Amino acid sequence: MTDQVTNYKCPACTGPLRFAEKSGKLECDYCGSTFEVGEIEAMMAEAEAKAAAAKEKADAEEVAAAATAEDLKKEGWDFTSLEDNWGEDGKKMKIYSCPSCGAELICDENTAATSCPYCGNPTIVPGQFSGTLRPDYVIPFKVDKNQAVAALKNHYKGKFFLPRSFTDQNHLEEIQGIYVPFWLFDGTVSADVLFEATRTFSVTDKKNIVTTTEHYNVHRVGSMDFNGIPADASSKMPDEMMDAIEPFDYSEIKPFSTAYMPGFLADKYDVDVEQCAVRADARAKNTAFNMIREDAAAGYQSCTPVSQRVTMDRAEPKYAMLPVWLLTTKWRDQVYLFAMNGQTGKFIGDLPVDTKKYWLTFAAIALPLMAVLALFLM
Amino acid sequence: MKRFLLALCCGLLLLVFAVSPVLAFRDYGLIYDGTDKFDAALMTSLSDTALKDVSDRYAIETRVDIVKDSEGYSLDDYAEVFYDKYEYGYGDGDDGILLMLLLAEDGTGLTCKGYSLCFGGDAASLFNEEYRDTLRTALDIYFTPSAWSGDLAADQAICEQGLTAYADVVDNILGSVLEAADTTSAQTAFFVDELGLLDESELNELNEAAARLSEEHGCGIYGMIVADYRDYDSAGVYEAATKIFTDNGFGYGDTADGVFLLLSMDDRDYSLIAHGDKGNAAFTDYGKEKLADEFLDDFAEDDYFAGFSDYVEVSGKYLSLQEAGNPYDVNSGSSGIGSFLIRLAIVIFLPLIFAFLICSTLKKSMKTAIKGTAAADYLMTDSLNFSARDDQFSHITEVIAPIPQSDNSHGGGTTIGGGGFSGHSGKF
Repeated sequence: MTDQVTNYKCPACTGPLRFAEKSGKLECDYCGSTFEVGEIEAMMAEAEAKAAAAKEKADAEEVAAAATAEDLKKEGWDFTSLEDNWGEDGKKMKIYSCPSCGAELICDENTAATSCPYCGNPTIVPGQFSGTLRPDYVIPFKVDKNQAVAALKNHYKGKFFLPRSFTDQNHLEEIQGIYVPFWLFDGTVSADVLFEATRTFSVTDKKNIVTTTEHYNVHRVGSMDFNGIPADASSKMPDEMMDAIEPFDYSEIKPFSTAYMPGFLADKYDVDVEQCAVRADARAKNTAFNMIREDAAAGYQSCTPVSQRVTMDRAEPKYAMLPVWLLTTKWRDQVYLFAMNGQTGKFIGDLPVDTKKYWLTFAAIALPLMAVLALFLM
Repeated sequence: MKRFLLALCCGLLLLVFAVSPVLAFRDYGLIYDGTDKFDAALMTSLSDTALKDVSDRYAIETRVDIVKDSEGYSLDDYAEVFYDKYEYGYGDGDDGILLMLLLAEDGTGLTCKGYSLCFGGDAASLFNEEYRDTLRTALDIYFTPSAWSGDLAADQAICEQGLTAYADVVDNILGSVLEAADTTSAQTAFFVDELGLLDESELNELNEAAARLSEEHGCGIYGMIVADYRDYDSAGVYEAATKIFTDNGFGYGDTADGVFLLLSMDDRDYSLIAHGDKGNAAFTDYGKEKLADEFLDDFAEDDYFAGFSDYVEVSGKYLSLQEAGNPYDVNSGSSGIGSFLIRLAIVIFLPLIFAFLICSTLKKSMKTAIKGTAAADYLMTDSLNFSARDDQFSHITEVIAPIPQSDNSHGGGTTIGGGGFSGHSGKF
């Protein structure tokens, strides 16, 4: 059964609209018209109504098609070998109809924005962004695809152990701008920590060095506020990659609008808020403890925690779509995934290590050093 | 036949008559009288009393040979020929003194043409030039031509006085020399224990070992246990050690080479000092420090024999190293097998660790996808508030550590202070 999806079409030429990172507007690739996000949002109500109508029509066609199949079966056609049961995979798939060309789009159940593989038009699934699934905020893309590609090449530079063939032979398989669902956590962390601190000084007389250590019980109780600790809410995104491209600049965060979506992929969240909160809490508590310890340790030579109680008082989490460029390369049949912060341009991704070069370098450092030391010590 | 026998008898008589003056000599034991002019009783008395007493007392044959000519030799050579030919001297070393008098007939009496002294065996080493001059000075009074008158009775008297003086002077010289040697021997009790912490056998064993090594290396190895070093010098244990060393005439050779370990039991102080060119060269600052490590553990456990034994043994090694031109010093400690393994480990592992650190740093740059553990980027500005900041003093702990040796003690060589001493002191 197909579901409803929406294209953003140019009011001037009905060509597909795409969100442009540099201008922050929706642009038509065909006639070059540009539109403010607000303008296009106004068109959304009408587009959604059309999409609802298209959905009803598609449902009716689906019923008719089922009847036709039944009729054919009655007429002696054997369809028993055609399995319509997709099993577990089927439960995670959704079928949409492209408003532009009518083609069927088979997507992941979490897909919220994609493009039609037949006509290439950006397509939004408004249902993924409605009700409780509607994000609160979005940070629009600021860096474009070309910058992401350039960043990838730059990422290779200065990597001594990167295999030469990796840069020569690997191919950029895919580059996708994705709005990744994040939970943003606000909260206040309270910490009550008791430290044992020491201050040491020495006095030297004619015969001895007298080292005196003063011991103190240092008690600190404090609190601090955190704003928008992000935790990616998509199970498809590796947590370490999403953590590594932080931070995001919240001064540019916008109220959510699907008008920022055209031209990019988007998923709705599939990791619930409680799961993500655990990670965010740990990060906040860790930072709070370190700050408290830093204050307690001032003026002492050592500062060891004796007891600690760190709690977090969470505010209501926010749901936001944050921009990420994902780049996929393939080298020697292995896929390498890179990510770039779509707002700040921070680029990360693990690179392969040339084992031969590693050990040659190791030997080139160790062996001459051994020879020099042997010359002086043996 | 009768004529033949008569002629033979006459010939023999003639021969006896002709040769008899040449064979005219008397041997009185320690006196050979080639002139046969002197009274036999007198010569016997001199030989059996004065000369024999001296000879027996010192085990050095003290004899007199009186000749009328030197058969073409100089008198000195003639005396040596006699000494060797007649195997004068006692024992395997032919220890002895020969006074050879060259006398000639003068009227009814005799006159002295000169004398010579010949020393053999130990006598040659005991009679240095100073003693030989002393002896000659005494003999010159009697055995000069002017002292002899040509009257036999007077000449016999002067000879008696001269030989008596000879025996007396030899007696005095040998007496003083050997007494001094005995004194030195008594003084070189290398180890002295005023408190009886070492039993007699231990003390003897230490003394024997120290004497053997001291003689072998020409550098004295001494040790002493006292109740309180302040009894010798209140300035400090080092000063007391130097004073004891000096006052007791420790040391070998002109520069008084020696090493001395003083233990003062009241406050359990010790001082290890060295003196002299050889002593200071063999016992460097670093060497003394390491030597102290050898015995301090034993002294700390009140095992004084083991401590002093270690001290003597290691001192001998230090002296051997110094004689080999490689005194034990900062760099010398690196010659042992343990040190070799340490250096080998440094040569192997230090480069490996260094290479690993560099390669790990470079490899780390290949991994940039790292899970976040902090949230400092999302901390709101000025939101950190303390509701309690309380620092309460708890207690004090104190650690007292002895001052390590100054760096210059590890720079090699020996730091020589006043009086030519170098030292290392502390507590045990």
